Amino acid sequence: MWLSYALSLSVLVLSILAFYIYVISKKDAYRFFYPALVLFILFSIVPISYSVYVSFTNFKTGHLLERKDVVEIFATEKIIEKDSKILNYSILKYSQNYLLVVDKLSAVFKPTDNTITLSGADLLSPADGVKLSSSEVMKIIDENPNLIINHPTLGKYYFYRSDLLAKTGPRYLKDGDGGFTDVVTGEKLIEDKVEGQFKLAGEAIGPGYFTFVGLKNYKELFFDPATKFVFFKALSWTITWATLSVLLTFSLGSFLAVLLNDLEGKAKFAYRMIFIIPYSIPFFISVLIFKGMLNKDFGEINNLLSFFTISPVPWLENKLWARVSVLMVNLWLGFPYMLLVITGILQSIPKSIYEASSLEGATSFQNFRFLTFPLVLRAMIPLLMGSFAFNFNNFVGIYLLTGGGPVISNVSTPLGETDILISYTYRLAFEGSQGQNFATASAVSMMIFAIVVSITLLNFKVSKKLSN
Amino acid sequence: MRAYNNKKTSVKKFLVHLLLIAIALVVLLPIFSVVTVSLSKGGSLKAGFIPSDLSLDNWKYILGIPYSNALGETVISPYPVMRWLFNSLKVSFLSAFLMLAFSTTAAYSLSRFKFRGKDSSIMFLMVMQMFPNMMAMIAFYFMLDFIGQGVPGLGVDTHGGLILIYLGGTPFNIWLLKGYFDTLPRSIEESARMDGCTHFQAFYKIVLPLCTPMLAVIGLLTFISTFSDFILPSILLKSQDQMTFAVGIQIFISESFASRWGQFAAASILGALPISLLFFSIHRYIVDGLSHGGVKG
Repeated sequence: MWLSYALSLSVLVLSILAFYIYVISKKDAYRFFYPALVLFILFSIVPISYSVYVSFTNFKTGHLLERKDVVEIFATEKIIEKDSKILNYSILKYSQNYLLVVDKLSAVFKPTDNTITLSGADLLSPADGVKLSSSEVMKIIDENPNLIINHPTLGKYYFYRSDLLAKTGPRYLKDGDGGFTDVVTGEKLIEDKVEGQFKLAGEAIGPGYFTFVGLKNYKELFFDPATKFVFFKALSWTITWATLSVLLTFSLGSFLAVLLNDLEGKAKFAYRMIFIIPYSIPFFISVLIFKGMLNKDFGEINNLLSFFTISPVPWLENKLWARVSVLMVNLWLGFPYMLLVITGILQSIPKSIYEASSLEGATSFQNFRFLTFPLVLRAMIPLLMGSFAFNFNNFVGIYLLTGGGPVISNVSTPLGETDILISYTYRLAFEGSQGQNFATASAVSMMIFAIVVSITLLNFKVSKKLSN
Repeated sequence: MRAYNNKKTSVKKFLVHLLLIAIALVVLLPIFSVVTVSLSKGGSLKAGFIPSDLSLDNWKYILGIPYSNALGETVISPYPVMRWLFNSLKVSFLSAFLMLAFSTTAAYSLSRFKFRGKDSSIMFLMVMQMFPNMMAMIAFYFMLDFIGQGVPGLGVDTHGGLILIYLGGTPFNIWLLKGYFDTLPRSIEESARMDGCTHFQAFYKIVLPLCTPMLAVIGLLTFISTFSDFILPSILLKSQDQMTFAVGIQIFISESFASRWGQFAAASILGALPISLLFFSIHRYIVDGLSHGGVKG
């Protein structure tokens, strides 16, 4: 609903804008910018606005329908009249018509008829017709669900299933105020408009519909003990994971960059080429390869360890080892980036400053500690923050290796030990054992957005300060 | 004293090489392993590092060539792996090309013109780009479903629809290109404008040809990142013939992983090789771009 509103509104605004830009104003600045703007608004802003909207609703399994759909379901729900007889039937197809057969009675009809009257007369020979399958029968019923079948002795009947006719009536009677009364108990359904659910004696009846719940999803993240526990557990591991990933890749990358910088000629080139291979392979492929290699029973790595008589390590099954595995794989994937960038920085440091320090009698370690390292770090701070933001949302690095697992037991919403916020969002929205919880997932994405934007804005500030 | 120093440096050099070689081995280990497994008979994960039973069966399976297995039966793969690869290359190429077309004009506008709200719109673009679009997946699906009712070629389960969604992600490229345009002197188009070119002609005929190397790098980076994406296509593409490589290859590891390991290994080499070669062909330029602001990683 929101989506179609947002989409139509943007199309309207964009069309007016197009008219203004290309016909009235004719300013080149806007004409050049407009095409990208259209795509950006339609395929970035509209979907984002949808996520924001969903985060303020209770859109999740059990509440995926609109109110009018739920009302429609209540209005069409049927119940079989008490003590009435249920009849078997079949439908035969002829070149022009259909034949409804109930015991010894039959009737010729077309699916568009309003009523069918059964009689004992032999109208068409059953041997000439083709019996319809149950799915073909359902198709006819769906087209005309209120078709009345008049039985000569038993009265009005309706299609009930693909093989049964029954005397059916509405399960819920519509009241004047738009509510419903249950025919069986005679009680009125109570509509909980806050929750989006019809109820009878406190019990939920039928599917719910989604409603606007304001800040409820956000409040739950911060104040509901069970949800809060899961959210902050995921958040703390996300921060740990992103920090350690940056530290590890930076340490190894800078260490190798410094070592390689002192080498010369072909060896330097050969090492560098080898070290950037991991960076050249699409991440999803490398991660999947590691998933196979880290397999506990068949994996190459445990196989290698058994050589040294080390018993198999549950790389992806145990909480601690799974965390070690994702970090190590990410180190393998990420250090070449640091190596490349730091090499660039090292090459830009003028050699003269080392000459000056060697005149003072500095050792190579002192050179590194007091000259190289501070210079590299200064240039690297914006990139390290960028890398932190990237790893904060590094879905592939987690999801394809461990799937977020091993799963933690005894938590209110499903969460794995290696789940970071973005994979937790995925789990909530697309593969939760408790159904799809788009509402909470959207609220979590909003939190991720807030965190990543803050880091980036801070990054902008720091880079500006450093370049001044 | 001097002899001692020489000896000390050569020992040090030896140790450095030893360390570097050890690290290089760790880096290459998965690659050795995958190549070995892909060339071994059967699909076991425990193939060791030297293929004991050299065979091209896994490669034949992936390439769709019939071969006979241990029982003498003729096996032909039901999975169109080459088709997936072709789909991926097609989608990535078209996305990269169209993305460039749209982002160059926008970046040019941001670089060359003064208009109200320019700085804030750049900021807005960059900030919005950071929204985790995991949740937008549902919106993407509904939107394409809707568009597909009018234009079948742009609906769910079509490459057109997938590319359309990718085109919403131009801001980062716009930002990179704007930075590049800023470094080009204005005088180059101004003389063309004097000769009577329209602004668009000056842009198209004078500025764009000057940017070819930069366009190539950004285009290739977009190509690589589109090739690697798997969440969006796995939600949008349903039929096996439409799948991209990143989606299709998941089949090999989701069902009976251990027995399909050899086939997965061959497929992963097939998919990684073109991208890896592309990367090495432009890696010098990427390094320059990286120090500019973290392209990947």
